[in-house]
Amino acid sequence: MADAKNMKEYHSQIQEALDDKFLRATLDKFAVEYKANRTRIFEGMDVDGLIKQVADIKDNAAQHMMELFEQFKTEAEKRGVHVHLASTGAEANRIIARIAKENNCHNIIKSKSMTAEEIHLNTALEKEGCRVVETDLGEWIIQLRHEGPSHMVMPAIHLSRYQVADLFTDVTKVQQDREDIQKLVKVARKELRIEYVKADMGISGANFAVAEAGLIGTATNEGNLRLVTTMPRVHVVLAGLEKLIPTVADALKVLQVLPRNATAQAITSYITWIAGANECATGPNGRKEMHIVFLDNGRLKIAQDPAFKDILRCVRCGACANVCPVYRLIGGHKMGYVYIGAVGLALTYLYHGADKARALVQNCIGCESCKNVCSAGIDLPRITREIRARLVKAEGNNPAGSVMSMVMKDRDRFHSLLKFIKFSQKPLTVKGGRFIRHLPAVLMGGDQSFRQLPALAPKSFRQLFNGVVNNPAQPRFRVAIFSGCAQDFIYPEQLVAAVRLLNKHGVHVEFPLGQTCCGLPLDMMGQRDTSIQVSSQNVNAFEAGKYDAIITLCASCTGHLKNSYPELLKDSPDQYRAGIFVSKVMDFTSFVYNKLGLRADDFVKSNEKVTYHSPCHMRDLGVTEEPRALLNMVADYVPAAEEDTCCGFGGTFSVKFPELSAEIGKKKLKNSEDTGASLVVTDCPGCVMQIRGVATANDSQLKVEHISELLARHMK
Amino acid sequence: MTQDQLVEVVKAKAPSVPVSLYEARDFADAVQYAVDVTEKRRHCEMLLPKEGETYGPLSENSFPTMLDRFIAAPGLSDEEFAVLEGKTAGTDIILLRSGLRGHMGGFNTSITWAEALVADTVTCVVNSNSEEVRLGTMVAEVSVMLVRKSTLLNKLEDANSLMLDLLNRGGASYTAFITGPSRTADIERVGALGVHGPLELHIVLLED
Repeated sequence: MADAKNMKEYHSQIQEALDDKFLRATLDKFAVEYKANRTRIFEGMDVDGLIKQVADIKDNAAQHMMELFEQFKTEAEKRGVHVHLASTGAEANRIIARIAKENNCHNIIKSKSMTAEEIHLNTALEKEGCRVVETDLGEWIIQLRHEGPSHMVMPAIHLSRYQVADLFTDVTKVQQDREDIQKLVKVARKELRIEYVKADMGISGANFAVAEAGLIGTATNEGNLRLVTTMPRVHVVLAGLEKLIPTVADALKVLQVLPRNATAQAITSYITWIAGANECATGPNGRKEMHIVFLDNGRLKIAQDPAFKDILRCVRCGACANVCPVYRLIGGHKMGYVYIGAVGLALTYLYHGADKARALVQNCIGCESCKNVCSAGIDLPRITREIRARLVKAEGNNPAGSVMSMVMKDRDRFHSLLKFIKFSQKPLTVKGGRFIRHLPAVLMGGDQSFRQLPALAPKSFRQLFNGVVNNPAQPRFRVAIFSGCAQDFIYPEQLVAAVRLLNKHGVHVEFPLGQTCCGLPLDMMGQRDTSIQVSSQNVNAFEAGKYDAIITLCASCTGHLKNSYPELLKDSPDQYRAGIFVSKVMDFTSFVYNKLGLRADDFVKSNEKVTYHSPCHMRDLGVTEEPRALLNMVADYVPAAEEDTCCGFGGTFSVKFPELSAEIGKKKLKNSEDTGASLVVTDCPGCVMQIRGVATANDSQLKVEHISELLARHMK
Repeated sequence: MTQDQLVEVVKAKAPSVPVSLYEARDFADAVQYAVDVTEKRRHCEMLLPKEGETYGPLSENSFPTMLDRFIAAPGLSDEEFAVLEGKTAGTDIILLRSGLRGHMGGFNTSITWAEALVADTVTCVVNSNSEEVRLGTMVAEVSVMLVRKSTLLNKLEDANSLMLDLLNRGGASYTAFITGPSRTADIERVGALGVHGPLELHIVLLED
């Protein structure tokens, strides 16, 4: 459980995880297999459509939470159940402890409940003198080890069979087989059986609380829940209010996504539906004493907060961790407090408070993978940025953020500063002036030696543009370029190549000088006000109506302009302009392939072996075919393993977490090198900076280019 | 889809669940199948051994095994149970019909009815209002589910009206969707069957 109070503490926790070889190997394997298995299990299904339906069902439920609660209560009471509502975790713990006391229960067995973890229920019950035994295998293992879960679905994924075998040997006082997992599982089968017999209270969670029938629905594979809810005379269900859902049909709909997304199963072994106090031989009058405790703990308030309400859609499938490049490196114990993965960052802030979340919420690279895999389509990276903004607002700015905001809100000041750096960087440059030599870690905010950082270009694109552009007399299209900082000041050659290609094919190109940083780095740093200011500057810098398209060659800028501007500038005087601006923004390859319609005939194809890195924000925008189609026209394109995985850049992330950025970057380099290609091409200057920087620092022969450069070199 | 097509779907999908499938000629044949399955396996493991009791040889998991074989058949009608009694007469199999709380150490086989079978996922919908049915389908090493072909459903969503029907029969209800044996992948993500419940699930299809 990551509970670092500050970044220094957090970095040392992260390093521990990075040094855990078993964890690294396990999560690497899992990351690759999960993606393949998920694709297979959803084959032939309308995944996006299903996800949209889940989102709608959950949104509707969240907006009617208390009505659903009342309906559920009426229905459940009809069937002999006591229904409680706890406003805080402490209150829920008190209610459950009281139920135990009133019913004279001492031996409690549990099936898996993340909500129980959220409120530290076991600790509370143990304080009251109860004995609590987890029966889900993974939960039992971590309970015996006095740990929290490291994954929402596979809580003990961080442990090897040897660690489990040694633990079981310890618990049973019998030497257990250290290799055979099948036998280890049978140890749990045997050891836990007596617990079901002894228990007088069973506690379970719920995946669904169906209002129309006062019905609890749960998905498990082990079946332990069936024994937990059958053997003891008392059954207590603990459920967050967001588990309320109107109908059985809604639950069946969600079940089409949940197990597929969680464990790539069409369905779990057991779905258990319990409505009312069922038959129980040892219960009062042969019936179960049944209680359902609903937990608020902020949920009602979250449902009314437009920026956060989507989080209540979460169905706890854990997929956001499965695809997260950061989770893959450090596991759940360092990427969450109780809830882990991307949703864990948000839920830690919302349910456990700013203290627990301050360092954690910094640990999102912004690759958008979680957003695109979420069962309910929650835009988790946006929520994480929102939390950073609220922390800055509530707690005042940090030094880095203040400086950044001060510089960036005034374009002239920002650009003058860059000019100053350009002149003063000379003594620091190496390798023909294109790279900066390694600077002391203290100056960089962290050790950046894993990659060679680029120097600013001698001339920025804004200085070069007039000398380069050669607009046709009768253009087919009129476009403007939105450059972003990296290409304007570091890699202007990528834009120069694009202008050459566009002019050659009859496109009139303009470069409005009023444009500035897109604002994404600001938003990543929680600098919301300045981020809105630069957004406004940009939409006002373009007479968007004049152009067929506003072309971008930076994936991250494109993503930010298209996804965040409408939200950032909502309710501002620029709202209307922003709408037009955003509708014109188009990435370079989409323009070249779809709009300009360039095909193989327009290029000279070479035999050069080239591989590709798909930038996160291109994938997020659904641009995946265009760049690959273009590559095939000009070179011998060889796909790399995990081509669709983040390069580890993440802008400010790579400065805040160089140890993580380095690991992801090295993996990317290796996968690219393994193709045997001499060149890796991508369509984002950030990715170029990262992959080229890592390649250079590791003396790799692999060259890195923007796709515009490769295409321009192969023009007929 | 027609009933025959749904049966084909089940046949195609059962092995990967994993589920063993048997098409019975009639009820007696279905019961005979369960008896055969029971006789072919080793004696059941005793998970709650008592000091001073005598047990059979150790199992592959080094647990004691029981000296007798047991089949639990909660939820069968008197007439159906009589057929089972006929089939086990002269064998070493002891039949259990209720009081399964007293047999939590384990039994070989359970025979229970499913209300329906969802073909697409090979999911048995089991009315588990009876505590004995719940324990029977969890504590047995081998769970044999009897399904009438006329109750085959295509997709999971199609179970909605059956669910509502089960819920509205009055009072409390406990319904289980059961798809294969009890399983886990909690240690190194390696799949393992029988973590708490059945090690095997068998579905016997019956004509009406």
